[in-house]
Amino acid sequence: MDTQDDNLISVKVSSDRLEATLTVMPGIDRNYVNSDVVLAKAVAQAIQTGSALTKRISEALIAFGDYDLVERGAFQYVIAKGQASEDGQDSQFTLETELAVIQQLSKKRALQAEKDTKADEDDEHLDHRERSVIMVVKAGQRLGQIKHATDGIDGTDVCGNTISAKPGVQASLQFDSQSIECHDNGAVIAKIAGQLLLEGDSAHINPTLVINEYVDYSTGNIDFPGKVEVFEGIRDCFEVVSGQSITVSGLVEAADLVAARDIELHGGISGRDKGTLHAGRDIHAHYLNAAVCKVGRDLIVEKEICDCTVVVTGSVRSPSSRIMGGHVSVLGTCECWQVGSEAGAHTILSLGRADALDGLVRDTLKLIGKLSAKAAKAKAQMQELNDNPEASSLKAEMMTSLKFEASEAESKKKPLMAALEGTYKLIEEKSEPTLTVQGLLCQGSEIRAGGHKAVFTQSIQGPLTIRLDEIGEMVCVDLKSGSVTPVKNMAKLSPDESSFSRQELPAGLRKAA
Amino acid sequence: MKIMLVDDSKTMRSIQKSVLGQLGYSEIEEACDGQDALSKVGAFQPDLLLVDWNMPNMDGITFVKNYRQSNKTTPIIMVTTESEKSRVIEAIKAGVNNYVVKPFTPDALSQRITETLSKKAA
Repeated sequence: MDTQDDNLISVKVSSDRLEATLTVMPGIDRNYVNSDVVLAKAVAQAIQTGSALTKRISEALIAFGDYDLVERGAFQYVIAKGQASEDGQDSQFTLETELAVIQQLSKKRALQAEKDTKADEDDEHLDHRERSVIMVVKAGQRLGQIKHATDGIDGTDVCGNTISAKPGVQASLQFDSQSIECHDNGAVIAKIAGQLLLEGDSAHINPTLVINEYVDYSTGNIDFPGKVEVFEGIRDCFEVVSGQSITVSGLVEAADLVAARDIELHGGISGRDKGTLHAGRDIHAHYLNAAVCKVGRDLIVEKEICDCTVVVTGSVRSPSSRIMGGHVSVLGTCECWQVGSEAGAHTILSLGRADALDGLVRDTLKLIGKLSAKAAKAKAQMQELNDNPEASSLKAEMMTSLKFEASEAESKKKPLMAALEGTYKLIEEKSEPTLTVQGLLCQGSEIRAGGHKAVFTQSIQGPLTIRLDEIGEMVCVDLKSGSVTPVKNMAKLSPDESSFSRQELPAGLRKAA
Repeated sequence: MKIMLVDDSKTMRSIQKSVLGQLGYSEIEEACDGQDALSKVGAFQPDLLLVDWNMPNMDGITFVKNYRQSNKTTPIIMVTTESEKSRVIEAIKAGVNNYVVKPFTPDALSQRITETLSKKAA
């Protein structure tokens, strides 16, 4: 062996052990470069032998055969390659797209609030109230997908040794098992409806939505299936809808609140004739000012109901409250401290009224009246014809026609009477047209009940009760002395065109004495 | 069920149509006299006829006699002011199945129709 030639040929392994390269330097005796020499060099580097190496060496030698060392310099050829390892992937939780968008918006809003910056120009055309930043989810809703960490794939170096892959890291995201379930296939599903909260490395769903500050541009409108608690107030023109109850500690401005159950205002609403409160059950408030309120059950107000339009399907239980201005319509009883004001604010109180049902009764009575009139007219005409002894086919025809008319009118009345009876019974069951005033019933106050309207011509000191007597007339009962005075002695009475009078009802439907 | 109304009075036809509507019958053809009825009866093939007596062009009895030459089974109710016994007998001889005297109530007409159809079914 020629040592000099031997020094001009080498096989080297790369630092990552993934390649072995044959190098032949200029000046070597070309005859020295053969497969045995190259193989020996490879073996010396502990390169894994085998058919693959033999093949690559042959290829190298073929390539070397055409290679001009003088002109081109050293010859290099990769005679062995390893397989790189593939590191494992870390685990990942990907939020559903719609939730991810809200999350991004929430971060953006928070940043804007921090920097006290205005919305982007791009955002100017959007209604920010509509873009809620709260991730509201329903029971059964898919929240996202977990991709578990993978182990990775080991590699092999040119010497045949294993190159270990780095396994992925399993993230420690904790899902609250009470509210979130993780399926084997990685799907993450909400078990309950509520607000999805991702805090650090934990996620849970809160069935109650807590707004620590205001409902305003930072939150957008709220539409939440569960209870909503607002610790500050609610700004103008914002909406809060709850599938349960709403509690607000601060001021509700000209906003719209809808709750399937109760609305509780620790302060009140200053609606400026635009704000609305709709509750499926009760409304509790310190005060109501210039708002429209629909109450499915009872209304409890501590201080005053001022310039409001209120419809209450249950009762008004506000013995310390004043009702001043506006129109309060109550199906059940009404108790308050004062009605009207010394300054003469026009205040209307409708008792024993459910506006929708009342309207139905009124309209049905009108229809029944028309049908009765039609039947009576036909019968009168038949009587006229009967009185005429002259018989003719024309007369017979006219009589038949009139009989038909009368019969049709009567048959149309039957279902209307049944409907009227049903509706009226419903009103009677719930209706309790009674007003109790603990303090003062002011002059000018208008009380409507039983189809009558009474505008009081003098102020009356309480405690008193206004109710209907056995014949449907309004009376005033002094709760101290027990004396009963017809309201017509203290008020100007007129028919209440917006309601029906019990006198109009068919006799069978009027309340028994 | 197909029903033909033969009466020169539009009002009467309207009342009868309304009563039939209440009984659930909606396939109804109208004719203004016996001649008109004869021209329509072949194509319409009614299952019941309500026929007035006194009509222009061809009265009810003449129509019934003509109709019965080719159809012995379809029930016919005479709806008429003629109430004398002899007239009733004449109508039955001509082939009428039942009789309603004007003025009638919608209930009376309805009853006659139901009666006639029940008898036919039996």
